[in-house]
Amino acid sequence: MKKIVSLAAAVLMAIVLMVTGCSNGGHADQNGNSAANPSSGASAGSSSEPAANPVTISIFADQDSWQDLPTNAFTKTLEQKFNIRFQWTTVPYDGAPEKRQISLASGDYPDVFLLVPYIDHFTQADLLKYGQQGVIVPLNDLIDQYAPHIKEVLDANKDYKAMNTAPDGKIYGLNGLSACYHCSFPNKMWVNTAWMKKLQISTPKTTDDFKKMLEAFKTKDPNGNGKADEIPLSGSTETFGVHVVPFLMNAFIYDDDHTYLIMDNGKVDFAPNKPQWREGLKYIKSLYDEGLIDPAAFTQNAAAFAKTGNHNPELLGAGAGMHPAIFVDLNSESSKHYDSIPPLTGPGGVSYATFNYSGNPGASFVITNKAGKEQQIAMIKALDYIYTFEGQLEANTGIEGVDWRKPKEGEKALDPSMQARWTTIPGKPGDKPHNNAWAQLGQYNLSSEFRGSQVQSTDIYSPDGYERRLFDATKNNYDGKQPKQIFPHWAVWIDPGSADQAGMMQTNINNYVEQNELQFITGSKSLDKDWDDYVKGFDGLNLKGYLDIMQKAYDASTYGK
Amino acid sequence: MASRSLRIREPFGDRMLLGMIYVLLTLVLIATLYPLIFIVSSSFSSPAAVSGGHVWLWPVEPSLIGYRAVFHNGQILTGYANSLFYTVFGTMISIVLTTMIAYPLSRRTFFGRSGLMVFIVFTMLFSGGLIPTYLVVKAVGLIDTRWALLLPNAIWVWQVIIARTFFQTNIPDELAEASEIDGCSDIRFILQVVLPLSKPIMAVLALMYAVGQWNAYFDALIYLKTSHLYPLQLFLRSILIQNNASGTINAADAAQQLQLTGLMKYSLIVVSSLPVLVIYPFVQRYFVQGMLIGAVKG
Amino acid sequence: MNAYGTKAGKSLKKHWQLYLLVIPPVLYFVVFKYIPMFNVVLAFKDYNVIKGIWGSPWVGAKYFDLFFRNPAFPTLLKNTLFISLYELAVNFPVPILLALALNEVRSVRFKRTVQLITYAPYFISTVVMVSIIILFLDPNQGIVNQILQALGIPATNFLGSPHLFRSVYVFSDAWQTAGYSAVIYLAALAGIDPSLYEAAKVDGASRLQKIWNVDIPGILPTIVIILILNVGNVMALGFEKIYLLQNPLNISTSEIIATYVYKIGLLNANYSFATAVGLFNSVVNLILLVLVNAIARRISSNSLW
Repeated sequence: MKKIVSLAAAVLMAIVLMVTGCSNGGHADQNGNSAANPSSGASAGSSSEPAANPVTISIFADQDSWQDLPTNAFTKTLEQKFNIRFQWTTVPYDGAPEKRQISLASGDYPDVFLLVPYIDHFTQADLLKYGQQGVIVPLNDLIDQYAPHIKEVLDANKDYKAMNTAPDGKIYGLNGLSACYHCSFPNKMWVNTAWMKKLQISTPKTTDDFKKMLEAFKTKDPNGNGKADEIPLSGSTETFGVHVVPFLMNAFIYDDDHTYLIMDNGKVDFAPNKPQWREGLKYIKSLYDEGLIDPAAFTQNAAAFAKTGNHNPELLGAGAGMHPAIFVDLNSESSKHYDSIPPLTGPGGVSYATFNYSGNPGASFVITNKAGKEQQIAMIKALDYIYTFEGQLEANTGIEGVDWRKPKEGEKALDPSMQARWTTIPGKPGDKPHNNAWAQLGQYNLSSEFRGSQVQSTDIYSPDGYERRLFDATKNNYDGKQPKQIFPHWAVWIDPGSADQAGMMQTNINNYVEQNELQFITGSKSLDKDWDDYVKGFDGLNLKGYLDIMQKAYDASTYGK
Repeated sequence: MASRSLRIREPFGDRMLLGMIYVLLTLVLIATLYPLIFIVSSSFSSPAAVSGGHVWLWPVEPSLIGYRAVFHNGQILTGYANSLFYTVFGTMISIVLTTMIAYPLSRRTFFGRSGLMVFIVFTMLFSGGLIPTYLVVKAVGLIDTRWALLLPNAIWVWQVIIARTFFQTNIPDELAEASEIDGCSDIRFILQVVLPLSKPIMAVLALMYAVGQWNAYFDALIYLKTSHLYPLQLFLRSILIQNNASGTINAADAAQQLQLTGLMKYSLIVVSSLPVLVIYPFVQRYFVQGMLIGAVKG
Repeated sequence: MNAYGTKAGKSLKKHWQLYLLVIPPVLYFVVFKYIPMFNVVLAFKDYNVIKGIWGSPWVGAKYFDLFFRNPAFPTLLKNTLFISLYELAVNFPVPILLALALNEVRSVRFKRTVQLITYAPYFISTVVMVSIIILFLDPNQGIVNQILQALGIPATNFLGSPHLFRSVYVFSDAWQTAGYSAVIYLAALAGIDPSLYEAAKVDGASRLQKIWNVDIPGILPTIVIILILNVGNVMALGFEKIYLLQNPLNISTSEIIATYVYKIGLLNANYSFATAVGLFNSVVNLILLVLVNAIARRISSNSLW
């Protein structure tokens, strides 16, 4: 009996759902065209001049779950300012890349693609491929004629410009300028200065100093619990500067923690087969042999790293990472104990900081060949607005007085050399999110001016002053310490003909480097006996061919030219 | 006919074996139970406790933050209802279609069974891929409809094979022959003899298809656009993704988000798997020995 | 008309209802599986969006060539096969043993509890599963090492060892899937004629003998079929879990075809290449399947076709 009842209930519910489910039209669904509007839909009803028919632009966009792009305040701003009517095809983040690929592959694509970079983007290869097939419209002329602010930003930021300009000189798409100062020096070392003070150790300057400090951490029981449970140095395997090796290797030879390429007067060279690399490994091995490096640093993920950092009593002496919140909770007392130290100087007098231009190659904004001239012009003008300070502020944050405000008396900007200009208004818990900004969909001009003029508390150990803490750390300890010439892997475009091979070679070579790095450090391979074989091994991986491809790409790039 | 069976005392070896089995299963139980408890406890702890790795057995800093974050999205209820719909109807359709092809494949006198078998097994190994399949589904007009979750993956070759094996083993050809002589057609035979005797395999098919439907998200991801058609998994995943890498430009906020996400992963598992765990006991009762009545021997 | 023809004709006449019955499922396969397959030619072309699938120029076996000549290829193949076969060797028998053990248990409540608890881990997402694995195996404070140390065994960095990595992968899979996989065998056991058990009892068979002579033969067809299916899946080794457990220390055994293709794709999203590799995997699977099926047909009376 019970079974029949539950079955009947299920069937009934199903019928109800089917009935409601089948009526697709009517309310605003994902393809929210405000279908009710008549064609002369200039939504700014009471504008003083007679509104010419707005330009309809079909646009594909990744939409966050709290957003509704068709009714979003910033959308309305753009529509009013530039006489546009957007026809949205919005996709949720989940499955967004697949949906974009389907849209392109089925030939069913819109005028404009507007993507959220960390969810999906057109890779350089995509841009070249689609650009050459004619699917994507190059933006050079549009920018020159209609987008003065975009032009300004491109000209003022050479890395950004090179990142977005293909070797054939065309700009097929744009990604966002994101001048994240502290992100561009990802491989920092954060040391437990509370322990240093307790053991009366001064800031280590050389590799020897550093080693002595780690030894003191290990043997002198700085956490005072009578057990030698301290972990002098740890890290993890993921991204955001958490690898232990680069900071240390930088005292011997430049390690960019990405391509392992170095520049020698315009010539592209490779670091891991050099004698300095070997010296670096010797040093790191000496730390490992004394138990100063956490063996888990080479296998654990961020969560496990955080476990070590948050342990009670404190266990971590030094942690590799872009910023300490990776391994320690900012709301805890412990988080106040970690400060960054500048790059160490090795016995050869070398001392570098890893520099990585913050921004990823590829594009999140693209205009397709389906857009007519009118649409192209209107769209580039709209984008141009985001490349102004006010435009970016609105696009990223929202409405003044609701989402952001001007600074009060006494509030200081993040960058001490700048005037404070804005800060966010924190929402109240339980508040419905405001649908006022494009947020990560509209981050194209996060210039150093924009970021630097945000208000930040001067208490750098509080969560409100965290950005300042990172800014100071970067400015004081890392900026300026990078090599004069770096291989600009973010700005270099690889020729599509060799891209497949390059991809394979890079994966093979990087795997080989990383694997051997650890084998030498942990001692399963000997730096005396096995080094030569290791170096020879690169021949088998066609290192020469790889460097050739990279050299060609470097020479062809518009970087610095 | 009731018989008075002698109570034969079980030999020592047998009791030893039984004892060992009990011990082994108990160890398995504990080894399996502990991580499950860990997950549930984590889901009821605070974000900081989880990311700091402080949770071992019981919740640390007990809180409902994880659950609140999951249910914050009001569409969860829609998701549950939709998933229920897809699971019930999807499973029914799948079982029917599967049986329709599995039974004929199990009859040795069915000409072409080898060829048919190769025909369907081939699809298990080779597939057209994402885009070609999408184009077909689009051509058939199923995009953004409920049918998109009920049809394109309705039949799993794996299930067909298991069902076929069952029919082959437990419904011998002689039985079919016998009933045929009695004038029973294939269809009647299926309905009156095969199905009643197939309760265990129907239970397996039902369970596996139901679980598959309940957990499925990829098809919904690709074929659906309207959010009020979405199954539960899609909402749950979007919550996770949305919180994982936020567009905030401040590292402190980002770190906070990450902590919350770490916690939510556990709450999510509890929320999404509870229904599927609950149906298992209903299915278990079909795995009782001797479901096949002696009619087979007759 | 030859004997073959009459056999077909006879079957058609006798089983016409079954032939009708089979039509809707066959239609399903044609529409949703075979029609998309015709586009597998993507593997052989440089895909051009505007020209569409049929218009794109042929570039022959370029992608296959690239893949096979890659110096990393032999290692990738070796790793993929090793882990797959190891997986098979462990995770194929475990559910069977579990089902057989559960079958012996008298207490219904205990049996049901164990079944339910072992079935539950199947629903844990891969990401969480990996998190738990890393946490539990942590060389410093992971619970596994704490237990080992209490027993006098020194702490081991499981995930840092290329050899142990594979065992971690396989045994954690066992933990996660044994209970769910056992369901099929439990159903098959339920299908065994009870009179066979009576007969065994009358013959004075011990428990072990009963298992060997009644249980196992009773579910043998199921066992054989599932074995064949598993072998036919060897190249399709899952990507996500291995990718998340990979690190430079274990990469010599943890880099499989799927993770490698993914990494290449990060530099350069390229459908045709991934399709080509997928095709290669499928062909290998097909060969294995045919082989094992033929062996099964010879040895037992059970096979796929």
